[in-house]
Amino acid sequence: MVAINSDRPFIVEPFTYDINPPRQEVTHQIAKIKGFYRFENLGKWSAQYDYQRNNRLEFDIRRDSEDTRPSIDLQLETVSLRTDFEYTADNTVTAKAGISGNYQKHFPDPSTGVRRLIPDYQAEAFGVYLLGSKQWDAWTIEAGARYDYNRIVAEKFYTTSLWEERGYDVQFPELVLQEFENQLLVRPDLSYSNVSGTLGTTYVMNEHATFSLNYALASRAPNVSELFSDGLHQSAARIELGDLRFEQETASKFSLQYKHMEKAWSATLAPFANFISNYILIEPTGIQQTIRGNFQVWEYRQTQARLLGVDLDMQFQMGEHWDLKSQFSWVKGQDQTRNLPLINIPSANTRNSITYRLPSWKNLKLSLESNYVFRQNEFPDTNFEVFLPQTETTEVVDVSSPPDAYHLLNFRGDIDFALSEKSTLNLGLMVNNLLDTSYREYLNRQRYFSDDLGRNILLQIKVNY
Amino acid sequence: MKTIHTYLLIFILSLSFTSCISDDDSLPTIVNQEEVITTVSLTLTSENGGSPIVLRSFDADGDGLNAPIITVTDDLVANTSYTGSILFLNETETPSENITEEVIEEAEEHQIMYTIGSSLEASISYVDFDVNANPLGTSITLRTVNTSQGNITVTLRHLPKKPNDGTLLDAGGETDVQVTFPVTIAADR
Repeated sequence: MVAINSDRPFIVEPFTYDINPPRQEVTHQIAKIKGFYRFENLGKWSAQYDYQRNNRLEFDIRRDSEDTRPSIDLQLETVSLRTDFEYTADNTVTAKAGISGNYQKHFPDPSTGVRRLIPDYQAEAFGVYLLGSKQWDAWTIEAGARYDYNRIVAEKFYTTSLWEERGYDVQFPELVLQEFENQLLVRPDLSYSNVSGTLGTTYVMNEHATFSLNYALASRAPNVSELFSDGLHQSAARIELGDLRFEQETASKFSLQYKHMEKAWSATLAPFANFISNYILIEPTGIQQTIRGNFQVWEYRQTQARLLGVDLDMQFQMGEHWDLKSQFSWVKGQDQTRNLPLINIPSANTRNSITYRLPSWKNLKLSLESNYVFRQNEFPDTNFEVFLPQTETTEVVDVSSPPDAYHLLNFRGDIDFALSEKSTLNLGLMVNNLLDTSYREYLNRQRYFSDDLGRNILLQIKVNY
Repeated sequence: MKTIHTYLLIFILSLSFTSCISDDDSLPTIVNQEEVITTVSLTLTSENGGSPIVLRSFDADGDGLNAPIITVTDDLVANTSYTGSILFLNETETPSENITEEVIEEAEEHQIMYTIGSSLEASISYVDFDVNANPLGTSITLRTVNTSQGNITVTLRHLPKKPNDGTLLDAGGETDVQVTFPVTIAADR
């Protein structure tokens, strides 16, 4: 709590390139088979099979420094199958239909001696979709429909105190498989059926202007963290609580787009309105006293949400070598159940860049980008008070005030060298946060504790052959 | 063509009617959180004899949802010197694990910090030290002055800066345990 209210990190160590605990190791393995078959005058049928295995190890500071075991050891295996058919016989029509399915198995290794962050689970998903468009002169109509089925079966240990505090003992007594001294093994079996659809039209007004209108209905099943989070999340130093009772999110989105094109410039204006029922968010709800001190508690909650936003994109071509790009986006989120602003909505921001190109000399490209992020002025007040025994004062822990607006400059340079007739060497130099501005980003969970990344220089070497 | 259509159909049907989720096999094994400290108890023995006073905090579910239960067996007496010894236990295991021993073994990496509330008229001095002669704090001396009331906060810090000026802010490191005991210093009976 002291660390959150302080504007300097608690512990500041001298700069080092070594990575000390807490740190993580991630390995990733993929196998893929892909195939297609062309039917003359009809279309193309393709299918894909994927296997993926991800392993994540996290190392924390342990009390016994001889103990080199990871604190978290998670393995996720995914098998997925996908097949679709694309109709290609008529140029004014696009049509595609497909089926996909996947199976996941998650195994957290218990030998870490630390309670599992994500439980053992098996999940399967199945989807069927159909989408198409038809063009008549200046008009195009697009439509699509999709059905998704998700099932997740978890085997999870809950602490008895949490199981009872959430009221699960009354609502789901049948899920309990085994009872231990202060933990319960439960087997939730959750399934969700979702129907999604989209309908839109595009009208080409003249050679310069295009107008389109779209409606989309989309659903999303709650994910594993939203359902099962039940304790201290080390990386964010907070207790996170999910809810087994969550239902799927359903969004109704209306969007408009107007595009204007001239020889030297183009502009796109795209406003949208999105109404989401059962919108899942996470917010601070108080503090929890434990023998390790006080921790913030963040709880997931579902609500009726409304998002209104607009994106504006512009491009200017200035002669042969120079171009300008400008982008602005703004979203406003409202929690309609509580009649308050939504938490964690990105603040308005604008990106503007200038690029110089000299294709005749080693394909040289230099660009400078300015990124200005406004302060989020609409946020719910989720501050809470805590008594600090060391200073014997009650202090407000300010977890809701967003950080100030900030401005970053980024540079990118690219140059190509011909190695032989067919191969080229591409050198890219990127400097992010060129001026080493210190800033904090509203959506970064670490913003309570320290500044965001300073100047970062990246050199990229790529050989194309 | 015909056969491809048949295969496609079989593929679709097999996808839609087979559940991959097995009803399995073995259940996951329980993890009894290691490195948990459930109990902190500070035993204070008066220079004038009598039964020791015990300040105890017990949190059965460690960093789980239930708050710790804090008990203080008696009031302290004014103008008295007490020898104190601290005990950290993990009572989720049977027999319970004595964590104080581990703290003593790795004395250079630990320090127990005592924060006395400003209203409480008492002071604490360290009795035991690590190999570098920096304070450890498993044994202490507590001296009371006048009758008063206030808090004693006990914090076990892992990897603090050593030596430090005795405040939590200067010591830094990671908090393994922090408990606050409400204490009363009463007049001599």
